[in-house]
Amino acid sequence: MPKHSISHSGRRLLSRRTFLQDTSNGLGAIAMTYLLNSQGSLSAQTKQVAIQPDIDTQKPLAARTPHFVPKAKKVLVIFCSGGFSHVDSWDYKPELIRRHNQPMPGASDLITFQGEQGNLIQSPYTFKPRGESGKYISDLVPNLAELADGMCFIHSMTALKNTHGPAENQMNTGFALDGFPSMGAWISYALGTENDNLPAFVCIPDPRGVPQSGPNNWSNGFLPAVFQGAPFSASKPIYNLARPKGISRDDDLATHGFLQFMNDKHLEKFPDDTELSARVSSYELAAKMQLSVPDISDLSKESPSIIKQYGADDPDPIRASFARNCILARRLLEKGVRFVQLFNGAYAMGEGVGNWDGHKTLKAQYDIHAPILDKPAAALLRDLKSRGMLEDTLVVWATEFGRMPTFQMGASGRDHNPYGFTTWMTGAGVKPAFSYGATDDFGYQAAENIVTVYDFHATILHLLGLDHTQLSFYHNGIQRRLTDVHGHVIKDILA
Amino acid sequence: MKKEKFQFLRIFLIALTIALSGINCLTVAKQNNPDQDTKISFNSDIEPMLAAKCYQCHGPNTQKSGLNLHDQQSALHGGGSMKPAIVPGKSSESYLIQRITNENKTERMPPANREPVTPEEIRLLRMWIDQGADWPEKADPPVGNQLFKQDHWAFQPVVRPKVPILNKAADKAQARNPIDNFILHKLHKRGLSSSAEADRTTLIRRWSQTLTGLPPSPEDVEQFVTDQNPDAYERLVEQLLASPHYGERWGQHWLDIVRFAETSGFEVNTPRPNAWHYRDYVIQAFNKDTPYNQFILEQLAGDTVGADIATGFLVAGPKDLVGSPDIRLTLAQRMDELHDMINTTGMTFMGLTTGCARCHDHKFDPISQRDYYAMQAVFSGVKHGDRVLNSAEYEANQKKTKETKEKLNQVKNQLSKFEPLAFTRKTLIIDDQLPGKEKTSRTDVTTMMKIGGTSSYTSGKKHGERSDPGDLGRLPNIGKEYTWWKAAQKDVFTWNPRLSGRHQIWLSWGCGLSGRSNTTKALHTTDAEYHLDLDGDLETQDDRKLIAIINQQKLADGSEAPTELVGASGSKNLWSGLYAAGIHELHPTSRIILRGGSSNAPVTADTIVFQQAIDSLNSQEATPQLRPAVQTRQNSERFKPIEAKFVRFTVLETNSGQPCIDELEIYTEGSIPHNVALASAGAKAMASSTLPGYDIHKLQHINDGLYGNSHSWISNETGRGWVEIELAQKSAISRITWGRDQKGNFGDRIPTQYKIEVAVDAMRNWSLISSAEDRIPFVSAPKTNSSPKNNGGLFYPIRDLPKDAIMALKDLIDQAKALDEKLDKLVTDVPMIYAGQFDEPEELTHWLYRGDPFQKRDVVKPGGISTFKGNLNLDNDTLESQRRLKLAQWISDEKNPLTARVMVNRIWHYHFGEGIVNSPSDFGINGGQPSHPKLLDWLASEFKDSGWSIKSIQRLILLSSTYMQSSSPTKNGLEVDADCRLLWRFPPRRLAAEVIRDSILQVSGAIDLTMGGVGYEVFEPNTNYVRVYNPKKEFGPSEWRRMVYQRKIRMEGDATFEAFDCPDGGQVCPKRTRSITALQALNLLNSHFIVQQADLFSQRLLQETSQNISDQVHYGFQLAYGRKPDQEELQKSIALVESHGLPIFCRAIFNTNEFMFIN
Repeated sequence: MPKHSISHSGRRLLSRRTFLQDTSNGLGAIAMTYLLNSQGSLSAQTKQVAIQPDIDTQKPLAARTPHFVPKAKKVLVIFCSGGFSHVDSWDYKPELIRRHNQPMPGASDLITFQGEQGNLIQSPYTFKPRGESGKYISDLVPNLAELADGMCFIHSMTALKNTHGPAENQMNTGFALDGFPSMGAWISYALGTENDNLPAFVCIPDPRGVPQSGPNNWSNGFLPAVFQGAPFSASKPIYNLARPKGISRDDDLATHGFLQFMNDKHLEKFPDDTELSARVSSYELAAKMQLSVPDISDLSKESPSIIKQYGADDPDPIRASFARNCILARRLLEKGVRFVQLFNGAYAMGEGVGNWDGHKTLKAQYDIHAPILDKPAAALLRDLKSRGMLEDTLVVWATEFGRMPTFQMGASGRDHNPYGFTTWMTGAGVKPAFSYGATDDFGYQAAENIVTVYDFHATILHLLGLDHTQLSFYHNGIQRRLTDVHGHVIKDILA
Repeated sequence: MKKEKFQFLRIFLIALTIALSGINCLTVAKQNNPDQDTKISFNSDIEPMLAAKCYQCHGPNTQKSGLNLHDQQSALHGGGSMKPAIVPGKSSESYLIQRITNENKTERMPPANREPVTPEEIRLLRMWIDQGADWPEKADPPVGNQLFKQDHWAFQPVVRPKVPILNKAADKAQARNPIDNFILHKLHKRGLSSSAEADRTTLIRRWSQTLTGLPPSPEDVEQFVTDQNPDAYERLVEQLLASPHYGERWGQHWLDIVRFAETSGFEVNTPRPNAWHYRDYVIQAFNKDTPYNQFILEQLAGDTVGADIATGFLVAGPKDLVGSPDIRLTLAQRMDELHDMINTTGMTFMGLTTGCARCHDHKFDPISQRDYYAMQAVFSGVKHGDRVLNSAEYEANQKKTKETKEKLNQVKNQLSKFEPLAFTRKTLIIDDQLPGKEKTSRTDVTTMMKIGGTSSYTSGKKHGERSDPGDLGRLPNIGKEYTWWKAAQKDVFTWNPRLSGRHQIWLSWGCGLSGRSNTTKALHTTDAEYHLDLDGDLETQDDRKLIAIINQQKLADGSEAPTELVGASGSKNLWSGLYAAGIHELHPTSRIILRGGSSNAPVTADTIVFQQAIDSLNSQEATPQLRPAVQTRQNSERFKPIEAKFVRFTVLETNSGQPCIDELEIYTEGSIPHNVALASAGAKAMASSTLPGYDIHKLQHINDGLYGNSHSWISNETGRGWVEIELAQKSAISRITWGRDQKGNFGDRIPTQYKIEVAVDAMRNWSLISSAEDRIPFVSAPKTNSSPKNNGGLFYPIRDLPKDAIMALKDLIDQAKALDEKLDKLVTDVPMIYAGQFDEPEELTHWLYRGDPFQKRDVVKPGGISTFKGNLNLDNDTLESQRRLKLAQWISDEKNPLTARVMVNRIWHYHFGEGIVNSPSDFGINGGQPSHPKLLDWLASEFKDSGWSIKSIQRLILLSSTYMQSSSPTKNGLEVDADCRLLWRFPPRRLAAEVIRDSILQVSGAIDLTMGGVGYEVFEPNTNYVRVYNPKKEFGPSEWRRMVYQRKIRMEGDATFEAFDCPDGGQVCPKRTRSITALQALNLLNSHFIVQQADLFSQRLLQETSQNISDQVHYGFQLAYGRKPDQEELQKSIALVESHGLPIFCRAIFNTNEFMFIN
């Protein structure tokens, strides 16, 4: 069907054209440029105002060009839920060994999330230099540690909140409150996807369940629903994907045929109505997904060596399931899915039992969780690399906050710590074997090159060719951004 | 463009640019040139410049080289260089000046790639430093942003505009009411014309779907299409406006706007079981056409005007329930909670994004930060939570509760006479193991030989079984587990009581068969020996005497343990009860030794009890004098009357966490005991510590007369803490009661070891009056607050009581139990509403620098937005309810320029899919421009003149020719006005999720139109601390109510219909997105819901028509589309039904565009 002018139902929300026609929103863009140019004052300092993606209502997920040449085209986020302890993994603090079991200087009255703090406690995991770079990483994650030469660490992360829900919200949506669009939704909104039979944004929940703030982590917020993350995993398919029992393939084909007939007839009365024809297209994509999603989730085509490398044959069902999710992540990226978010850890089972929230007995809990993550995630990174996929894929490892260098009073675990923690990236666009920022001697507070979650997001968008100050959507009086009114690209980590 | 306006626009645009580029708005610095005498102001001259040029690297977020120029101390001390950045009075010595003026480009700040500091700015900085670098402790109060005058259209008073005169005869004929005059006038100006009136079939469907959210029945369509009366339209519209289902559809719109949901949101997302009342209130308010100004008043201050439920509005938003002793977190959570109320109130009623002024003056609109905090002061006494619904039922309930309580008190009084006195004799209970404790080395037991094993008692509640609760006078099972050895004639275990003097000793053991896996099925030993070794040294034999030989196959009273084998699975292991082993003299080192019997049959060890023998006692008592175990609910301590001025309760151990006591009651001796612990009786409370950050756990709750977790004290020490009551005067007391949660909902934090002491003098010379020592050990150890059952057992000590007294006691216990149950039921029957809790504010409201609760500035009085005459003349001692009332009156005042405009625009929006202003909750400068400003003002005037009647505005819209136009597109229309803002046709659009679901149910005939009450659930029930919402896999009639009654879970949606842009309740949603996705298609084709409804639809067609497929198809079209099929449709449909069946046809119909769209 030829594309004519957009009807009312073409919806201003989805279209840049209507955005420009819209006096309220267009005012900023058009009048501004006109005004400043006519006064000869469009200086280099003046930043451009928000430019919204040009979205074809019929194919809202069609691939779109970014603001500038990107370093990465796809993103994989590995999110460890519960607050992954940086001082037991990536952030080596010899001072903790020297001052083991001594009070933390200047922190005598410190009250954190669960209450009083005990003494500084050295990690139960041994740190060793890894790879050619000699980066110290602990034995908690021995397989991932071997890949240190490819990783770009940010050791000076800070979060706004020190409870899981709000902090997870911030890491995945930019805002601590509920109801804002997730990073994946923003990126799908900006860039669409490179495939025509899969969603732009897939999130893969942990086999043990969903993380603390649940679907808010992959929500579209106030963006159109088409940009929401589609949650499915190797063991849990998309809701309602399969043809229901009792309806044969023939029945289904006949249904589609009849539907097409009825809709075509209806369209005769509403020629050129893109909202109506978009619905017709959505049934075509649905039919394609019915074929493509089971196919992509079918790991039987993977070689036995891949199954073994990832540990998908592990007798432990949780380890095997997470490994299968890792394989699924690679398959999705291979097919051009723009944003894949792989969750490790779930909250359904309670504090620390199903995730990295090691308040009470950190070692006992981490000894269970680390093997679930370590081998499959490391295999995934290796696999991506060997297939050349890291050339255009950015891998981001994140968590909502870190943990205290002290043990909690009366416990053998660490409390929440939003004041300093570690994330890392690897793959397209970031410096390999690089460490940025630092916490203080104990790993308590970020001290050098402090990075906010806004900066972190700004950098990810930048790597995808997106200016975080330009990517916006009008909602309730504000051009909303992933980075609110903050954020600076961390230039030092760009390759 | 006029010059003034141009200038204004220019400033606005610059500000907009700056705001969008993330730089603080304050960078628009003053351009005036102060002379040398002018005092430089930090706030207006210096800080904005530092913010623009320095803060990026040396500000609150980033402190390169450790320097923070946002902080005075840091600036005075300097960063990593240790050189003071600012030396007051000496600009030349200030390192800051040295760096920004440095000749060397690599040294100069800011770095070359950043915007430089201008010479003028350097001059100002120098002057400011030389003038003493005055850095106000409190920055000046924020001022309303003067850049923006109030000439924005929406801020002007509403003046009723003249209705445009139509010249053309055709227009005059077409216009049905003034709305059409405005619309036609504008259309002509753009060279457009309106469309012809839609046919009646389309009109009745459009009106029905818009007003009730349901399609019309075929009968309704038939009747309307054939109605010859001249007022057919008016009557139909009136009928639909009067339908009770109208409120359900329009209530849903309002619930979107005010972010209503029935869970807390955030991490735990806990249900709010009493939130649904507000939904019913909203539905009824729309049905009754409550005047809108009244509707506003009720939602903000309904408690003052007899509309209690309406204040559910204030707390309809999310709240983070995760508590913490971290004050930073707790304060931030409270600020967020109030922010939600301020923001929602501003946007909902006035279309003002007040929330933007939390950290700084609003960047676009005339809302200062001070205004924001004035509104915070209005809401500062509002808290989330349930509140009692004042009603006749409640009064009756309260009356009954009072009566029941009085009766219960009488019974308890009588019962207390039977209670054993606490702590009359030294008591010691030694278990072989302490259940729930670490089984590490203990000093009071010694294992002499390698343990053969540990066994649990057979599970069950019968005599001797693991959970045997005991009975009146019979102890519960206090053993739980026992240890065994196979060791003939060998010492295996010792108990070391560390007591001295004459003591009675009771023994217990595990009786029955030996371990289950034992193939020989040997019985326990029949002659276990218990020795007392006086000096405790097992080498010396002469001080060792045999005190008992026990047949461990029998119970303590000598009866046979059941010996029958229960199949191959095992046997019975029963606790023996206590066996009296005589009165013996003990030394501190004495030990009781367990020795194997003559055969190799297992010998078992369990709890033994020691009790001091009073001098007059010649022969041992059959049972020790023990009191019941500690319970979650009420525990009683009775003692001989004693004079007391101070009473201290010291907790020594808990079952988990910091101890909690909800109420400590101290009763005087006498026929009518009085609780002298009450604060209202003049008593004062003190404590070793109190858990910070929780209003519900403050010290004052210990003696406030209220029971339950929400009125309790918790110490700030894990497992420990004391609380002390100083009585108003010295009194003779004889009984104390206390509990962890006397409402019985919580089973954690229970004090399990404690002591109670009294003193008469200020020196606190304590006398011990009671402790947990003589209580049966606390055994059930609930870990979480979700298992309140901590049953202390049925045991009631009745030693030495005559038989008739026992009968009387039994009767009293039964009465108390019955009254307790009745009281529980009365408490749960209290009608509660989630409509906020109102308390007089405890603290003054300050405005907060950058919204940071740790940077308080001066006090702000309650009020509204000053630019809009929102100074409400209130003081900080104005009553809480009056603050809200006054705010509501200001918002709903006739003269408020925004309120009426915002609401008529919302009404318009829900009729046409787009408002006259397309940002319904933002009428500020950054919001949308009205497409028809005069029409908007005309409607606003009409609205007020009609007495704020929503329905009267709707009548005008629904019966305008504008609304009644056909929705068919025209070429000209699409070219000139693709978005149809000018309304050259009725804009067709996809139905909302609720209308789709309700329509499917209506068409299939399954719909349950029951109104009101608790909503239905679409998720499997679960009780996790962090709720997990798994969608139900099957649906039945209980889920077939209208979707507005679906229990609204924040951040989780209906598995089938959420995909149709249902808001998630996280943020306010004045306007739904309307997207089209493949997941929607999958849900409508394959979900259980659709397949089931398609089936029901087909059954309906079969039942209500003939066997003729043609008839079935006809009826199907009429039900779903309100029209008959044409020949082609009929043929195709019949073909589909013939080859694939009627349900497949029905499923397809639900998926068609015609079904899914309003035309």
